[in-house]
Amino acid sequence: MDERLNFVQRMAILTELVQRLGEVGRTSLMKLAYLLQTVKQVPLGYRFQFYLYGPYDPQVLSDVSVAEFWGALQEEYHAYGCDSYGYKIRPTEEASRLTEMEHETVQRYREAIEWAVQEFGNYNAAQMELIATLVWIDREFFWKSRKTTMRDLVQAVRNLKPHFSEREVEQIANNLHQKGILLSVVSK
Amino acid sequence: MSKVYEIRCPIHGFIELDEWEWEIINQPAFQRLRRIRQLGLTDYVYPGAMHTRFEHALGVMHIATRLYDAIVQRSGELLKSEFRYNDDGLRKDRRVVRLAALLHDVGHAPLSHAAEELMPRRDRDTFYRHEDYTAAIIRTALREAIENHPINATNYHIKADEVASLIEGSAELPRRLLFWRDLISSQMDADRMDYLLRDSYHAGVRYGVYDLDRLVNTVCAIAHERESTRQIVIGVSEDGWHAAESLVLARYYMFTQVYFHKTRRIYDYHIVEAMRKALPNGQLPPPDEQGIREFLQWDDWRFLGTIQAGQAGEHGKRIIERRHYRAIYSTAETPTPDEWELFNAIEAKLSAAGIPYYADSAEKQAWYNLEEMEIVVSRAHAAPVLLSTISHPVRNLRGIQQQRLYVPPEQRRQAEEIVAEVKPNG
Repeated sequence: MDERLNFVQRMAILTELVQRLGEVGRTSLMKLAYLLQTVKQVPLGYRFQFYLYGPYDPQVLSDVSVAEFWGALQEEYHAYGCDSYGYKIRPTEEASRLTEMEHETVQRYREAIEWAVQEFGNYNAAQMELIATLVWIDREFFWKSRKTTMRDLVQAVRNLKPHFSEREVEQIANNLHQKGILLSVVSK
Repeated sequence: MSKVYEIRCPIHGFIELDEWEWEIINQPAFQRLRRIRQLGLTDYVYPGAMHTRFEHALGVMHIATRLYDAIVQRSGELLKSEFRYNDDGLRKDRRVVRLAALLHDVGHAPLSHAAEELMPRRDRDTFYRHEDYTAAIIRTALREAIENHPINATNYHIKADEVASLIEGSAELPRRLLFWRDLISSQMDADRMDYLLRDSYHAGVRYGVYDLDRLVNTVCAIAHERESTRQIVIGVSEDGWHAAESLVLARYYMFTQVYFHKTRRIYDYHIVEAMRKALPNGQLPPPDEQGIREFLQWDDWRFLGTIQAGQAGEHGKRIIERRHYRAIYSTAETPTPDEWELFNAIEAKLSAAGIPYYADSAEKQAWYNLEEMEIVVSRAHAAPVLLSTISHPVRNLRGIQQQRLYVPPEQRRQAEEIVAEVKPNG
C-alpha cells in the first residue's frame, strides 16, 4: 500500500524547510525535496523524473502554490539583470500555523529536515542541480546492480552537465561519498 | 523506396507509417493496445469515451514528429552548435523520437492508469510504473522488430535500448536525447497534446481543444538561464505564447471536468479493488522476464471477462450493476485549511459510525496531475521568460487538491446526515 504523506503533511515539511533556510529558490527546494525522499526516505511520494535540469516533479511546485494559498509561503519572481530570472520562496508570518497543524509530522522528520539544511543549505541552485544529478545517477547505477568508480560517476555527470569542470564535479562527488550518500561507488 | 501506410485518425486525419513502423505495430505487444481503453470506465459518464491506447499511440507519434520537424527547421543552428549534430544525426534521432512516441504506452495495464496502483514495489521506497513495463516490453517482446528490420539495419542502427532509455528518462541518455525527451514527457509533450484533443473529442466536450497548429508553428529550442543554470529547452516563440496558454487551460478544464469527474473517479477505485480480487497475489506481475510475459496476457477484455464471470468480488459486481459509491462531500478544488479540517471531521465520524467509505484526492490522479506549467517563451529583444510571468490565467492557477468522500449508495442517507451534522450552517 502507498504510505505517502498527504498534501498537508508535505506542505508542512516544505514550509519547515523554507523557514529554516529563510529564503530558497524553486530549484533548490525541488532538489532538497528530492534528497529528503531519496536519501532520507521521507515518504513525500513525489514521482521525480530526470530532465536536463536534474530530478524534477512539478507536484513540489503545486504543493508550494497551495501553501502560498494557505498563507504559509510567499513566492516572488526576480529578474537577475537582463538574462536570468528565478523565484524566491519565503515563509510568511503564518508559516508556523501550518507547521504546528502538522506538528507530529514535522517532529517525526525533524532530523531529516535538519540534515538537509545543514548539509545543503549553503549551496546555490546550480550546485544543488549538480548534487541531485549525482545522486540520481548513483541510484540508477545502484538499481541496476552496477558498481562504479568515482571516475565513471563523474564522467557520467559531466556528459550531462558539461558546463561544470571535472574538478567541481569531483569535489562535490567526493563530499557526497564521504558522507555515505552514494551507494554505487566502490573505488576511485 | 519504402511503402507508406496510412491510417485514418479522427483527430489528425491521415497518420503515415513506413514498413518498419508497420511491422512494429503489428506485433502482438502493440496490438494489445487495441484492447486497453484510454480512459478506463469513463464511458460510464461520457458514453463516447471508448477510444483506446492504440489510436492514442499513433497520434502521439504523429504530433511528436510534427514538433521535431518544426524545432529542427526553426532552431537547427542552435541544435547543431549545442549538440554537435549533423544532418544524419538529426535524421536518426527523428526516428528514435518517433519510435519512443509510438511505443511510450505499450506498458499500460488494463483500463489504463487506474491499475497503476496494482504495480508491485520496486524497492522499499518506490513502486514500478507503466514506463518500467514499457521499457521492459521494448527490450524483450519488441526488440527484434525494432532492431532487425532492413530499414533500420541499413540506415539507422537504432537499438531497442535507446528507445527504452528515452522513455525511462535514464540519466545515461546522451544529453541531446534528454533534450528530445521533453517531446515525450514534459510540460510541452506530444502525449498531452494528443490526449487532450482525443479525450475531448470522444467524450463529446470542448474543454480539451487548443490551437495545436499554432503551437507547432511556434515551437522552438531555447537557450535560457534560470537561477544561474543554463539549459536548452523546448518552448515557444513570443508569438506562440497564447497558444501555449490555451494548452495549459485546456489541461486545467479537462482535468476538472473530465479526468477528475466525481463519478469517473469512483469507478477508478472500483476497478482497482476489482482487479485486486482478480489478479493472482492481488497485484500485477513485476516487469522482469517472466513477469512481462504474464503482464502482456492482461488487457481490458480479460479483466472485464473476470468481472462478467463473477471473479472480481463485490467491486466487480458494482461495476456491472453501475451501483457505484456516491460522493457525499467534496472540498473546493483548492481547499482552505477550514475545509481540510471539516473533511477530516466528516471522515472521522463516518469511521466511528462504521460506514464504509472511500476518501479520494486529486493528487491520487498523478498521471493527469495539473502541475505548474513551466513553459519557456523566447523573446526577440529580451531574455526568455516563463509563461506564468506573462500570462495572468496561468500565473493564477493553483495546485488542485480537491478531496472527496464516497459511501455505498445503500448508506448514502445515513452518511449525508452525518455531513449535515458536522458541516456548519450557511
